[in-house]
Amino acid sequence: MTAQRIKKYAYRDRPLRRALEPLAYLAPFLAAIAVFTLYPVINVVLMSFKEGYQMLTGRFDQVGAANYAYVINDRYFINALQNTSIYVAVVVPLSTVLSILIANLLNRKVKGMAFFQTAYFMPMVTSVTAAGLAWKFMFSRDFGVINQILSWFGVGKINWLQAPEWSLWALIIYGVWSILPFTIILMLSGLQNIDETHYVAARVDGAKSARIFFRITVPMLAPTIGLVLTINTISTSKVFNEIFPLFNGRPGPSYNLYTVVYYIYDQFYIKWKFGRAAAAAMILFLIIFAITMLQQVIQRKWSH
Amino acid sequence: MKVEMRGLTKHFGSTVAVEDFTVTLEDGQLTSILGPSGCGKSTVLNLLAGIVPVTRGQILFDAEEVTGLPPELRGIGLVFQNYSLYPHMTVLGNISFPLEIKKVPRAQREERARNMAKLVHVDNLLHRKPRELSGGQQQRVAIARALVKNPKLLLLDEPLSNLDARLRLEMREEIRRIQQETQVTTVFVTHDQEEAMSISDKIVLMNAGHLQQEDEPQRLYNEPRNQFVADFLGTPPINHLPGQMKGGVFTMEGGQASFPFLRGTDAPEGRPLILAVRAESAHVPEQDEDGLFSAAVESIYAMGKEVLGYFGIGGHSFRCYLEGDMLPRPGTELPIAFRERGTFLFDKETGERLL
Ligand SMILES: Nc1ncnc2c1ncn2[C@@H]1O[C@H](COP(=O)(O)OP(=O)(O)OP(=O)(O)O)[C@@H](O)[C@H]1O
Ligand SMILES: [Mg+2]
Repeated sequence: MTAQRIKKYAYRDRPLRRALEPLAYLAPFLAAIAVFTLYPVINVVLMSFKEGYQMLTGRFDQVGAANYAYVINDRYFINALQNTSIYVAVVVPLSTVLSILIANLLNRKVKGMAFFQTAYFMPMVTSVTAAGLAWKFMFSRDFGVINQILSWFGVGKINWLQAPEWSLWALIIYGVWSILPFTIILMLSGLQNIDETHYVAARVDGAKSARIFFRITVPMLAPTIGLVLTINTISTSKVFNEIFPLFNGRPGPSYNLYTVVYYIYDQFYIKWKFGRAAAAAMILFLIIFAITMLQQVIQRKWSH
Repeated sequence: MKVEMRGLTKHFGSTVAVEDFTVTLEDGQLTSILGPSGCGKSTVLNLLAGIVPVTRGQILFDAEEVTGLPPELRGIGLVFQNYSLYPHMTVLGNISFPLEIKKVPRAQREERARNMAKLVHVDNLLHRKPRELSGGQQQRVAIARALVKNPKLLLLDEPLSNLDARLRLEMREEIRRIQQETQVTTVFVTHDQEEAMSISDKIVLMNAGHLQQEDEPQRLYNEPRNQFVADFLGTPPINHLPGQMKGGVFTMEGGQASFPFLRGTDAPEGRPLILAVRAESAHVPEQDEDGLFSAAVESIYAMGKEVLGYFGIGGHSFRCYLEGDMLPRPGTELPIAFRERGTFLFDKETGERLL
């Protein structure tokens, strides 16, 4: 029997086996997904419709949309949506632009680059909380290095962490810093996929750095930029961890800095309103989902 | 444009890439730089382009020194092995990009790009992206992009090595045609001897950073200056028979055979020598002609119109073309004779040609 005939026998004569075999290999993985991802997700969906739900007893009053109604009328939730939107709208573009510029610098073969590379990747290897505490000192009104630097430019003392109108900006600055290294790594890998000869060709033709950057580097980096926008939009929409160390475990100096995930946390763990927390989580999920889809559509159009 | 390289030298740290390289390229000619991998061909090209700085030596374009001039001021067009087309631009965008850099008005640069596209026969593909083109078409676009600003010197670094065999033949004729139509002075880097032989006005053969010989293709083949040149050119490779001179007669190592030379030689007696014979310069003589030695057939390769015989002689393999109707069985002893043309004598140690 030739090899070809063996193959035919195995695959054509046993369609059922052909269909099920891969499934068998995947089974352990699929089971883990089902237990650790699928089940909780379904649970959240169900929970969001249960009014007066008690986590411990599993009891609830009735099924309905009351949790949603409460959440979208809650002043704190609206505030959380606003804060999160501003945070995403500033951090994502800012970190994208900065990471392209920094990755471009890091991509050069210059002596001493190793030092800068380490410096830029510091945030990745320090814990959010420890780094957050360090930033708390840097943001300090009277002794912070940030106000110190600003004072050289004639900017008066800013009460970053205590003044409600500044606290969101402190959070944004810290957010950009903490998201940058991962973003830079993605950009660097994108840059390294661009063949050196493209630059040589342009340089021989007399192109200056700015033109090379805008006409060659950025367009050739477009797929990476698209990926970064998507990933960072999703991750910044979930801003939460960054808040604790900066504001002593409160959502801003005067409870003004709720974010959507902070609101969910607050409803779930502090107020024990499990149904409202689930409803808020569903709303966040739908918003992120819609934005991501929109991004995909735009990017697809853009790249053709 | 006439290009002169004088004592051109390039070291990368302790690596000697090019050493004391002196070559002149005549205006309007196509010169191939040929040599094995790593011999410094690309480095010479990059030095001409100004992409890498020279360690020592001079480069002159039309008697004007350009050694320190940056690439963009040298008026060169460059074509890479992987074409390096910009994937996000159309064919038209790619070809006109060098003019865009020079701030040529749009209408004018598109007009020139179209003309270039016509020259290289891609004028029907102007609005495609590079990934929608075949390898040969990408190559044509890359050449058009290099030529669009009317460079005085066109540099091509192994432009055909990413193409399949048939396209390679087609494209090398195309490059020759384009070069002759535009009369642009051209340097063509390749490690393929056949490519260099068929396309060039002149071949510059390099080895390990050093110039070996510069000549017209046929002269390079017929009159190699040293053993490296003789070995590098020709398929099948030239035969080697080691031996030494004894009483004015070349005697093979181990004394299996000796042959008097047609041309007199004053090669020193007793020095180790290599007698190099091209496969087409050896033959099985007619009945009335005497062979120089006899050798046993090891194997026979019939390749279409030609039959190549592998012979064993004194532990060495010897390749020789046979007459078309002759298909001797392996093991047969046959006489072999040499023609004078295509037979050379080299000093084994220095590689220097003695005859
Ligand atoms: N940027 C560099 N840094 C260090 N060494 C280099 C550099 N470029 C080339 N070399 C060395 O110089 C020598 C010549 O290289 P070059 O690229 O000119 O060879 P080549 O003849 O073009 O080879 P190939 O046919 O493989 O392209 C090689 O030994 C190579 O390793
Ligand atoms: Mg090379």
